[in-house]
Amino acid sequence: MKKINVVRRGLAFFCVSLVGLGLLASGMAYTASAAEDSVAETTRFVQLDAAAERVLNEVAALGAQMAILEEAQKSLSQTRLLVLVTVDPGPFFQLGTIQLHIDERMVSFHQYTETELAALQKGGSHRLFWDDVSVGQHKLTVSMMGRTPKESDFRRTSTLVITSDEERGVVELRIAPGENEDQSSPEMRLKEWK
Amino acid sequence: MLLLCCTHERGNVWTPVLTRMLGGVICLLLSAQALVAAPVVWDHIEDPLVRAAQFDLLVGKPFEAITRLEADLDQGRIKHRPAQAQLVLGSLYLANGAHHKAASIFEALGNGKRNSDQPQRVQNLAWLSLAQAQYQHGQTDEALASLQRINGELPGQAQQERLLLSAMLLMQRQDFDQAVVNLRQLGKKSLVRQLREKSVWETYGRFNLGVALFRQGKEEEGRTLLEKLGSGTADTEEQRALRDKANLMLAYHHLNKNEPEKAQQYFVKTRLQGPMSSRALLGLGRVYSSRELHQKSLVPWLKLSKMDASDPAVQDGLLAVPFAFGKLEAFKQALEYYQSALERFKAEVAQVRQAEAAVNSDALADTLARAVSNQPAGQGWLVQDLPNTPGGRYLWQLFTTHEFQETLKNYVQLRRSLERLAQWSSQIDSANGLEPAHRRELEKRVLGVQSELLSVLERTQTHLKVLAQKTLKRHEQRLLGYASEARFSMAQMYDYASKRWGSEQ
Repeated sequence: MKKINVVRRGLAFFCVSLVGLGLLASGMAYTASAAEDSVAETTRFVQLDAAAERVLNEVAALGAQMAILEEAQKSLSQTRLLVLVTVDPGPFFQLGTIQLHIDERMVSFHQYTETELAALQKGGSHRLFWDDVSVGQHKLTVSMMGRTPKESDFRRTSTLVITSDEERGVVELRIAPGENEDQSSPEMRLKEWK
Repeated sequence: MLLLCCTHERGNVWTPVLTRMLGGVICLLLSAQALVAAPVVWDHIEDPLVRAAQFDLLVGKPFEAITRLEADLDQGRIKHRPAQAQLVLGSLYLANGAHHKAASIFEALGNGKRNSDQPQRVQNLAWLSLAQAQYQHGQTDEALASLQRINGELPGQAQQERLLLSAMLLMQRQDFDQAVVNLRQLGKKSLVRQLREKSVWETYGRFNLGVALFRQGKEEEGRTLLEKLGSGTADTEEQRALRDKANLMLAYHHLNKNEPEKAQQYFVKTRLQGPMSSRALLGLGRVYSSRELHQKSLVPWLKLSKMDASDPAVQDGLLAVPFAFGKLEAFKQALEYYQSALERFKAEVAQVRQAEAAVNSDALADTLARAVSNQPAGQGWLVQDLPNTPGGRYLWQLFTTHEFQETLKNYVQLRRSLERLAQWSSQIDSANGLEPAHRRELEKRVLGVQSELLSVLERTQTHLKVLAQKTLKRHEQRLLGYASEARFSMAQMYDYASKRWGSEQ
């Protein structure tokens, strides 16, 4: 009987130390050398991260050179035209789509997503058209569709005649709250930037 | 965590384990929060080309915007307030992951007068976003310096993010006193304002304040704070998870002080589903076990042992069940459960080795890179969005670390850049009317960048691999250790049984 008790105590002790030992291993992670390893790892990460940033910035700089090269590739009789859309924040109008005709030919149609509308509201300008046109006079006709509290199918059209030369042309379509009393009907203005 | 250690061991072992647990919790809180800095948007941009760049930034196309805006600046096309172009450029570089470049642009502007046309609120938000990016890239000192550039209070939630981030950074520097000062400010708002905002940042702040107070030795104050958090209402899953964390922390705190009754009060408040459930079940079993209620300890431990065995708490549970049967002198069941635990450990080791093979063959990095590439541009990615990668169960915690996430983002960008370089190379070849000298210069530049990029890409891929290998090796060693303990324990029981039968005969 005495012998059995001894063995039982041994087993109980064994079980205690068994689980304790196993879990001690999990507690070993936090040691001084682990902390040093962690510092060394962070340093390695920071250095590698900086190297990646450097090379990615070089790629971006090269990308800018390629953009210049691409634009310079147009023929002499052509010029690059950029048409931008800007929206001044107004509480009532929700822009839906915009169409652009150049010389009676539709060259762009864009339906705005929620992300794009939010970007416009925060002061961004959308590139509606970015392509080559022939040097000379052009008629730009822009039609916008959207929603106001009074009109679920609000439409407006505006026209501008521009004369493009070899320099890149920039035209901005600005949609702003109307000057009427309740500001519910937006206004549209086309402006050529020089 | 630790189970049934003798008193002598506790003094040496529990303190670092508790510290590790606290540290782990702090890290987890920030990584889990998916600190994705919002794009820095500037007010009243005059030049339309700069506004177009700001639009691209906001729809998640910073790279395209950088190349166009840099080209426009190079060609002198920004004619209206060109300093604003620099501001937007800084935002674009920040969104593209180039936080060093963004910092140098913002600093140059901050020191001069060029951004004086921007409201203080907008400038402050820019410094906050920069600090968040620097923190994610492991730049603690730089992040703190950026936060110090903020002048006055930020609006609403941004102010809470600022205080919490700065407290985290201070804790990383072991400056708990100052961290506590910052965290206390989080709770200073009026109740009406807090209810209106219902900000999880404030909840995070309270939790972290509790942790920081413990670290500072202000146990009583820390406990009161965590108790409030642990018994408060929680509207969102994130808040419920935080409530569980608070209860779990208090429970383990009492358990480690050999106060099982007090610990039990908090364990039972922790939900039995969700990420904290395994540790709650393990702890609850320990509470009963320490009171010699072995039959009762089996209830949570048996439940725990049926859960996913990649979880270290479940692995502890697999050994705890036969331990309890042994205490009840139910040696046959103890033996069966040791055998079953051994089989589970062996199966898990096989899984870990399969994951190691995937990591070594670069399949993991490729799968993750594809998943990240398919996600919407400009958005942070979350672990749950990732595909079911081999051994992912063992790697998800690694996936949530900033180091892994930022390295993976770099890896994806570098791969994309390699494709861009190949495309530009063909464009240069087919370009008409290009001066031979200009063509040679561009070709040379592409080749130079390509070679550098390949080298960094290889190092980045290796880094991802090493991070995953280390994590898997740690899991493998732990599982092998547990398996050998199960085997040893079974041998001891056979030995005991033979001695017992021998003596009875």
